[in-house]
Amino acid sequence: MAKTVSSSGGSHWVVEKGQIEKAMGEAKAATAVNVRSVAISIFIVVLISLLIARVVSITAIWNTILQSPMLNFLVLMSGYLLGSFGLAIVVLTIIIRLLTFPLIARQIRASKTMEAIQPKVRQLQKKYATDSQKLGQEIMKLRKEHGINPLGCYLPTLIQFPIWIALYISVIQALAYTPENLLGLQELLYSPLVLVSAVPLNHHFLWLDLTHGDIGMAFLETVSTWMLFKMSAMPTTAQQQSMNRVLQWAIPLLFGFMTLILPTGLSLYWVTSNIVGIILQYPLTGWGSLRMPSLSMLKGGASQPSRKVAAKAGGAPSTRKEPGKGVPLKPGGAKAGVAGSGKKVAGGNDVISKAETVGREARRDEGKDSGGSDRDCSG
Amino acid sequence: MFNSVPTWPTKILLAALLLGAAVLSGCIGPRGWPGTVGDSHSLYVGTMIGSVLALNPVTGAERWEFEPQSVQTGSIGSGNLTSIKNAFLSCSQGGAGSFRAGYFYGAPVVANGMIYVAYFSGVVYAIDAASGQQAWNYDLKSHIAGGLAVAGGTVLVGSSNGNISALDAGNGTLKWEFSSKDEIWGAPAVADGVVYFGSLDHSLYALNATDGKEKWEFRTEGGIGSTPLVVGGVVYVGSFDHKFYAIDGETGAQKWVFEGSRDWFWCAATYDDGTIYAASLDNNVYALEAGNGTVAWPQPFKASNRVKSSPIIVSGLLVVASENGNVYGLDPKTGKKEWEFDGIKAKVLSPLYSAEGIVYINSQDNKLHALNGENGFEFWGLPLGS
Repeated sequence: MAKTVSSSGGSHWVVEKGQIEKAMGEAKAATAVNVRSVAISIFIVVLISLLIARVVSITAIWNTILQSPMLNFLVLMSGYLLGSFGLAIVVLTIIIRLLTFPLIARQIRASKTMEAIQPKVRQLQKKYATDSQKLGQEIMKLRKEHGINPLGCYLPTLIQFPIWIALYISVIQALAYTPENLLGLQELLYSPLVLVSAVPLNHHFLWLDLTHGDIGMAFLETVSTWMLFKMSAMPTTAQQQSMNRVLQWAIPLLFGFMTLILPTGLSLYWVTSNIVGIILQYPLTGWGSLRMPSLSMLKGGASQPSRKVAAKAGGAPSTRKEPGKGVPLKPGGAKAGVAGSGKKVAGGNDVISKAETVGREARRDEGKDSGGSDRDCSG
Repeated sequence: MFNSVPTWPTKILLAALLLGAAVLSGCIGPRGWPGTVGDSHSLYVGTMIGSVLALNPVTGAERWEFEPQSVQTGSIGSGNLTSIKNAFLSCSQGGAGSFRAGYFYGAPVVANGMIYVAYFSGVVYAIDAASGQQAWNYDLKSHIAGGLAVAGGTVLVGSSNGNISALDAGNGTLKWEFSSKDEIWGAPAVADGVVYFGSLDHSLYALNATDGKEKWEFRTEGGIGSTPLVVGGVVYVGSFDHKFYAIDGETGAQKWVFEGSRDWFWCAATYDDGTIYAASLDNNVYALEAGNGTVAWPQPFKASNRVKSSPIIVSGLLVVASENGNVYGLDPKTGKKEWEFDGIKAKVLSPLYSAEGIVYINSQDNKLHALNGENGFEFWGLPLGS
């Protein structure tokens, strides 16, 4: 808005057209959010009322919304895919992976943004070391500036959990390891005869008997989990790195062991999911810490890639050791500790990568990290 | 599996997911539905903990208990891979970290002073009926989920590897084996030197009982999980394709088919006085004329839940138990309900057994109920151990 003086000598506020449109847009968005919130609230109240009145049960809701459709889809798909239940698992896993990928991508971006603002967070921690309330407020403000919703880091994973569990149960149920499983399957199948005639499902796929554990799949599961873990691993503090070193082996081995003792139908889902995950995640994270360090990096130290990025961005490699000081992002641009605006960081992988790299270097330069830092999204 | 950057909270949630999934998978693992048989001296009752009890049929007093070697408790930390797998697949049985391997489906069989039991673990046991001592056992190396039959000195049992195996009833040696194309989850029936059994490969097979040679194969559009009923040279069997078939026992030709059901036929049918009684998972019990398959009742009897236990004729009434524990006494001529008993507070999946006008019903809470077949009065409900 601008204040102008009229010919009559009086003054009034002139609101620019763009500002009006912006304000209207915000108002519309706010109304839409309100309507959505009201609708969600009504839905939750109705659902809780029905549950309390025992008109519906949680099991019935679970089966109706998720379990039954998934199970029927699997059975139907296996009917169309030459009667191969293994192929149906692969197809369903790929579909689920693709459908949930936007959530995963958002989570990865949120993690990276969170990582990139760590230097700022540490500065705040130093600044407000004695005032935790103010520190909290400032951190919230910082997150807001960078468009970070802490829940956004976990929500995608939480949303996927029911899908994983439903798929897990579907596989167990559809493989009908026991008569109880088969009867459970019957209760969830829709009536059409095409589904009924597909039961029991062919539980042989490639060299696998999907009802038994398999050492080959255990190996694939261990390797693919390890690869995805390494690709996903974020730079961490020394303490966290040490924990990560244990986990990067323990978790793949644990899942490998599970693969050995549980029906291979499940590990087929896990392995497929991992492979698709690696393919989808590569454009976002690259090979991550899976990439072999080059000889020059080994000789020159771990900060080599950061120098490269900084040089590309027009800055000079940092050799400074002072805490809080970093590398200019661009000529005359921000320091490492203030790695660009949040919007830019969240907007594209390239910028994320640069900001993140600079952030990492800043921490390395500091030579220390606070274990209790604000790292809601990263390891 | 790891869909994203593995973060600490994510890792914790993943661990929780894994645990939850393992528990969930265990909760739908095998529990069995053991049944009851008897002779002039005792009732032989299968329990949910894998043992067989010999009881006084009138008082319910215990005479002996047989617990096979495969019924062992163990823990995740102490077993081999199979044991650990069983632990994952049996959360509801042994409590945290423990398991029991001795589940069985269907009733034991009494013949020639012996009790024969086929366990889910794949081991068939022969037990001396008088003493409760094991005579022999044979491991089929595959799961058994459908009971067994004994005829002419031969024990016949189907297993999850698709094989029907014939064992010598006297010493447990293998006589012959026949392979179907999928799992066998129903006990075979034997009549006039022919073995009839259904397979989940959608077929009903007829084999020569002496050497296991195939006489014929009858295809349906769904798996067959129940024991065939053989009456007067005709084989009656229901399928997952919602149809109930009558097949010539000699040639394998279809005599008639009933298509009025809306769900699977799961349990064996019953015959009485020219009528076949077949229960379906659509909650209905159908009465069909054995000769031509026409419906004998004005309308089928609708139970309050799915019927998974084979109906039985007791004191001139057709006794039916639904899965939710309701028991009905029906007039076999009209399908009219004469009495109803709703005192069983657990699922009923096991086949019913009757003797001297008493109906014996195993419930999934590991109890044996004795009901008067004439009026549904419960004589006793006996806990079968913990």
